[in-house]
Amino acid sequence: MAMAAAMTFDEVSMERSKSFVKALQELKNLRPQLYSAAEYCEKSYIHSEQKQMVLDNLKDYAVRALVNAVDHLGTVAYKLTDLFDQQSSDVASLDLKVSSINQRISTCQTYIEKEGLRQQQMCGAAPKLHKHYILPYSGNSKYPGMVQQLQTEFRQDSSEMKPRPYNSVKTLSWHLSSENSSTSATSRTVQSSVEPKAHKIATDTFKLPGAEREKGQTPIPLSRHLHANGGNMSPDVVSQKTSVKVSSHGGKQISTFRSFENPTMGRQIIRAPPRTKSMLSALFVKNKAAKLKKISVI
Amino acid sequence: MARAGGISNPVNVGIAVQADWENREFISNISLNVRRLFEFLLQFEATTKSKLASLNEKLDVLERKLEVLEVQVSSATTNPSVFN
Repeated sequence: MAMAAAMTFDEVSMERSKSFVKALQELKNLRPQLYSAAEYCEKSYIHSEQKQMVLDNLKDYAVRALVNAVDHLGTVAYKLTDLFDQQSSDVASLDLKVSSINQRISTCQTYIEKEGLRQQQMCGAAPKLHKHYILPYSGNSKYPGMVQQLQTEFRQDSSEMKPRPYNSVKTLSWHLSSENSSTSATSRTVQSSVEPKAHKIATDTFKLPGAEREKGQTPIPLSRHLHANGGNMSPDVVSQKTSVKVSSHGGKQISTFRSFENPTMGRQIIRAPPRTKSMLSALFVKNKAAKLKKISVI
Repeated sequence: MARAGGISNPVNVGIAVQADWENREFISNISLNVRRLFEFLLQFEATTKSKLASLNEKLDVLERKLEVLEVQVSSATTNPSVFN
């Protein structure tokens, strides 16, 4: 059907051009006809005796010839105009098609450039560390305000029991509790009744706020336990021992948190383990100045 | 007889003059129409020339656009790795 329509359109255009050529040819043929008619009338007027009749015939023929010429010229002009309109419409449609193709190519080029830029960009995604670590109270006098703020935040979170958005990320508290549960089975000397209770309560406190709790138990912050146990963890030890497990890179394991193991060590100076490059220590080192500023503001 | 011939002469002259005037009028009409036809032809030629010039300009622009598109398409076909 489309092919037939296309052929019809081509045939129509061909017919139009043919008719124009024919009309033009007929107009061209009028000239010798008029010349021959003029010679015939001249000879007949000279040689004939009835000159008036020849003159009348000549007048009629002149009028008809003029009308015929005007008719032919009008036909030629009309067909030429029609042909020109057809050609102009074809050119307009062709222009539309070319512009559409041009637009498609330009869109393809823009997409190619965007894709190239995206591939060429530095795709080094820096690990984002969420500041959700609940730091144990170290009795550090340097950061009293920060510790209090953290405690209040911990209480609020525990009281609200909000589901944290980063449930999949294992917090410092979890690691500490896991370390405690693992190390407690290996070697532990229970020297006082306070110790298991403190350990239990400490582990409870390190549970996630959304976790279920035993009835009657309220989360007690770690600072109070440490005070109760007489924990004398120096801030340096705390900072060096506690490390953070980075969720994005599954990084370093947490070193043993020894403060709960032997709370009755008293005032023994705990040697700091070989310093590991933990994220938390790095954070403490790097953000020391920033936190000092914060505390000063608070 | 001579007077009749003399009377007929002015009549003939008059008729001849009238005929001549008719002929001249006819000729003037014919020439006027021919001039009008000529003016129509001139006007038609001017308009057709302007239309053809505009059409030619459009065709030139289309040719340039097609040349650019042809170059772009040829570059795209020669470098298929760009689309991978």
